[in-house]
Amino acid sequence: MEATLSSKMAEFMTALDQVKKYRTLLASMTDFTLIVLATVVVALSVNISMRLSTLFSGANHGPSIAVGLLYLFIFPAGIITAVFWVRRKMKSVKVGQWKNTLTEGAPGAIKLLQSLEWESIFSGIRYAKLGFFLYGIAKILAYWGLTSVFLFISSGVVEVVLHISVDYIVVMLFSLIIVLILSRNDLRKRYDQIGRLDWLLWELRWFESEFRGANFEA
Amino acid sequence: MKKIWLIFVLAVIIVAQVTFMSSFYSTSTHSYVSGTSAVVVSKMKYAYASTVIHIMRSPFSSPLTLIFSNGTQQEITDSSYTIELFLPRTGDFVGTYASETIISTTPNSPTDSADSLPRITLSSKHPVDVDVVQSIPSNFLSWHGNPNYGYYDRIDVFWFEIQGEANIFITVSGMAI
Repeated sequence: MEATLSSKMAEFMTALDQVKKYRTLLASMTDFTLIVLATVVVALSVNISMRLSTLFSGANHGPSIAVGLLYLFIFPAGIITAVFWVRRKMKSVKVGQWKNTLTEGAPGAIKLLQSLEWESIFSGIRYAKLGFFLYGIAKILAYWGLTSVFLFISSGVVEVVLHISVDYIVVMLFSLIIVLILSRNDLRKRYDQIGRLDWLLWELRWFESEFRGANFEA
Repeated sequence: MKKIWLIFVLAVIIVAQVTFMSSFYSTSTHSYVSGTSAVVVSKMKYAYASTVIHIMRSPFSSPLTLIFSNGTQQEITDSSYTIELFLPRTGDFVGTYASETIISTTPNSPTDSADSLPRITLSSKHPVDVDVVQSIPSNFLSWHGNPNYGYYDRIDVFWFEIQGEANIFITVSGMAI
């Protein structure tokens, strides 16, 4: 009985740790947006400088190939940095601090339950759901941008080599389809996870009302 | 809260950058010419235009002669010759951007009906233009000093003649502000 209680409690605390990570994910969305927007600003600035340089210095004395290549890598580099930044933030979340308390068995489990702030847990789960959803969308948009840049470059090469011009709307749609196909597992995982978080919220609400009604001595 | 403001500022900068980028234009053309032809580069007075003209001549054909609008002649014996041309901004925008005024003219021609002559089509959405005209009449250059169209207070035109056989690649980058 005590072992079951400890294992259930461990499961529950692991779920709460996950919620804590997703809350950090939502908090990191601001940083993610900042990094992506800053990257766009830098990329557009370089693009404008290249255009001005071509216009006022002549095409033959305009930006060098190195600057052109650098320009192509700014946006992908920004997105990769943003994704890694968010991951780093999530990894820095302290989890498993409850493990020592749980080694005490049933009294430890009850002590943990009594130390929980239920309202903050409920709001945490709601934020976690939102963060998980928003990050999924932001990631797909960022990967869409990345794929579009790659396909635009490829279509440019195709146009030069094979003289086949590809409409940019087709390129954008094609990039979106590729990203959705490649992210289908991630999307499914997110959908399931949001469902699980919903379920956890309802179960905890029920458990909290039961727990409040009972008296435990730790 | 500071980060939200930073996001707002970055978004405003992006909007400004995209708006500024919409003032850049580019166009290009490629043509094979023989006999007497002309290259005509035109732009709205409020636009800048930078043009690169690559002239590729077969090494087996006779030399090319370029005749510029001021009468200067240049003989080209190399197989590849490049002309870079910068047309500065010479006037302000006249009219409104909302009502798209398209200027379509055959510059300096005595009549409007000369369909084979260079057709300049400029508008606020297309403020730079380039055209290669084949088989121009012998008095083409003489029209230069005698513009008979009212559009000349709104557009700048630069042209030169090419006598001979060549492939011409022209790229024009422009900015209208």
